[in-house]
Amino acid sequence: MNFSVKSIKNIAVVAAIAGVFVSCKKDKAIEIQPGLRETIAYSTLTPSTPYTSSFLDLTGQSTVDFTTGNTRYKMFQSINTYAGTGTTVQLDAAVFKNMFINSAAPFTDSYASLNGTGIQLRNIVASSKPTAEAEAVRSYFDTQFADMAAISLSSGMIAQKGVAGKLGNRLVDARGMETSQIIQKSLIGALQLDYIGNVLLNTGLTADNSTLVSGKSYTQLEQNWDEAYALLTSSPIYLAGSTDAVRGTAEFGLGSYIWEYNKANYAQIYPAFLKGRAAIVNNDKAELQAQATFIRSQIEFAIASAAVGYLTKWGTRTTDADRAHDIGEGAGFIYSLRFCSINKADAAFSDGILTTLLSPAGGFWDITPAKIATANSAIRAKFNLQ
Amino acid sequence: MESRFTHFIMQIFKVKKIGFVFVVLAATSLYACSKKGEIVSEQSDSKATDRKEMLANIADNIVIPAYGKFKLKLDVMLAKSNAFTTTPTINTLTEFRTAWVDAYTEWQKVELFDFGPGQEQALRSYFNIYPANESAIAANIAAGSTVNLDVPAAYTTVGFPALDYMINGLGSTDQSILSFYTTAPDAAKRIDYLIRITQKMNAVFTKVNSDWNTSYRTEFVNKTGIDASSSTSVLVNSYVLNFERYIRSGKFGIPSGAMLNGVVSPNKVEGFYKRDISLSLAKAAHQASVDFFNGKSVSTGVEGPSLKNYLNGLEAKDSGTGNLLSQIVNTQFELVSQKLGLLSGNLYNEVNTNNQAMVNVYNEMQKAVRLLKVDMTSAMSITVTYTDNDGD
Repeated sequence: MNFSVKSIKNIAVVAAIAGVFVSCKKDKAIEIQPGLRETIAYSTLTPSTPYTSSFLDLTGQSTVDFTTGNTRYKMFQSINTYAGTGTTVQLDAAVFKNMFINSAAPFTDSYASLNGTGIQLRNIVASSKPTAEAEAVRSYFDTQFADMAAISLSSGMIAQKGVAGKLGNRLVDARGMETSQIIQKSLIGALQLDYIGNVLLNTGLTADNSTLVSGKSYTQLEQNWDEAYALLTSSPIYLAGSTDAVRGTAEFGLGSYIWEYNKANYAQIYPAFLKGRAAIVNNDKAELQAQATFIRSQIEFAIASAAVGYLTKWGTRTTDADRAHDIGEGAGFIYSLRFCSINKADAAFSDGILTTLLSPAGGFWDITPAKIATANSAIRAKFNLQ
Repeated sequence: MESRFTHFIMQIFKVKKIGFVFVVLAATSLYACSKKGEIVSEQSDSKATDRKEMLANIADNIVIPAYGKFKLKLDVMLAKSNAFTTTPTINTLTEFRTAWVDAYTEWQKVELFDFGPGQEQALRSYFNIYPANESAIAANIAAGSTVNLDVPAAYTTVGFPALDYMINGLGSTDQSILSFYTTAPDAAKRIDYLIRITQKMNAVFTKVNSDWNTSYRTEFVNKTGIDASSSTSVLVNSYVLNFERYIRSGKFGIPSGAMLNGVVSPNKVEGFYKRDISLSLAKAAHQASVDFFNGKSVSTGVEGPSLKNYLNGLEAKDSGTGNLLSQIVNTQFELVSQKLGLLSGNLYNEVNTNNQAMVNVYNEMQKAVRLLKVDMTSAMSITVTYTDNDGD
């Protein structure tokens, strides 16, 4: 289900009114709410409770549908995979753009099923932002795609200041920026954090929860929540069996960095999704809001910590290839900070740090420990990191 | 209060979780001391008080006074450098060299503090990345003050290794070296560069020392958690990294070729141009790591709360023998010291004529790295953050 900001606003009023009636009918032991579901006791949920089979309608059919979220998740993977081949293959900016808007069957191999689904990334990227700003973010990716295609022509060169090429096995532009990392880490914020955190788990929480979406087994609110989960991970149980040292599930993008940079709370993300989902079934707005806020806060913490983490790693490196990789990742995460709305970071905050870090024109090649320290302290202060 | 409580709960959770990981790690790793059994650790609910005492001892009796002692030596060197650049003579050159050796040796006792201000100011990067890059130094001298000495590309053109080259390596005799600062056409530029890089050392170190003596000490002692930004985590990570990369690899693994299929690089020893101090620098660095582990005060020599005590408090031990991990570590440190004792002072010569003795040091150090990096960090529930584990 495609979900623009406007449509959320339109149904918000309806949902709010519906919510009033729903909340009047609360306190029965077992009740049908609102004529759809059986209440779920939060105490029955455990970290190993399965997601898809735990939220059923009265006929026993699952109300969970990850199709839309997982489709976009795979599109992100496909773009990332394509960008990663730039070290050996000449890339085409048009392919990137077609993957972004899902046009002209750009997806191949295991991703081919994404073609023609009518689902795309571009129109949801930065969609919590006002139109002009959202378009600016989308244009930024168009520019990065073009840059990626351009530098793939230089994979036979050795990069140096002012010259695109390879540093070790990293392909960087003339400013030493590893564009494939910029794309991936920026999409973590612009696609995953923004759509999960600022849309689906924010404005999306006001969606209708009293009637089924036409032809579906779920309400719009249920679908919003499930879509958020499915844009974060394709695992049935996110990070199942993970320890701090070893990740237990195959994760990509945001999902892997929550594990890597939020060791304190990564294991609480899946339980929060379960509890929030149960809160939707129970029409428990307060609990729903609490779980959404928790998830969003933890995502923002992970992204800010990743930005600081990579900048700090830069200081421990002994080769330009490693340092460039850290800056590519770090700069992408810093770009993504603009979507950390709980911490009130915005485009001016992100761009200010990037400008200081990457000016003058030499970009990566002119970075100094002092610039790193400045960027780190700005991020730490904004996100209250120790 | 609520967040503090939550944090506390998480600590307990983490501890239990890691305890499991640790057993798995220990069980699956070939244990370095070659005794049977696993290291087991039983952690109590909170060791934050122990950590705070350890951090305070490290700050007050190790880091801050060690920086103080280094400052004395550095100041003498800067004064002697100043005397030399003002009046370049054999006499001022000789005094500069002596002060350089003293400061470089004292440096070995503070290089391992690559956390907090030292890390933020990139102290090591500006003080001791070797081998010095001769051609880049020559280019910097020719280019003059426009060259940016702050970027990583400049690390091998500044600090003690660059000074080594400039006061010991320019010629084969003292007289010929002196001529580079007196009669050579670019003597003035060379003097300017010497002034510039010594002033840079002074500026960077002054900032680090000042931060420790003002705001950072309190911050350091109060970050008592074990998360990635906690003081215990950053100091353990930097301590292990220093031992692994800058003592084991830098001083032995790379020159001896032990890390490069036996391809030796005698020109990559520390203090390459002076040569006869390379072993004493290595010994000083190793001893500083040993003393740091045991919490030995650099002023009084008395041991205080330390990594050793903390490990003992966690009851980290080999389940087969019952030996404390801290004892196993100290035994391994002693084996390293014994191997160091078999080397002569000039490691350049040792690589060329007695390289197996160099490799032997490397091998014993590698066993210590394993104990510190795997067993100690696991027992402490500290995540090693300096390896890139995301695989992309």
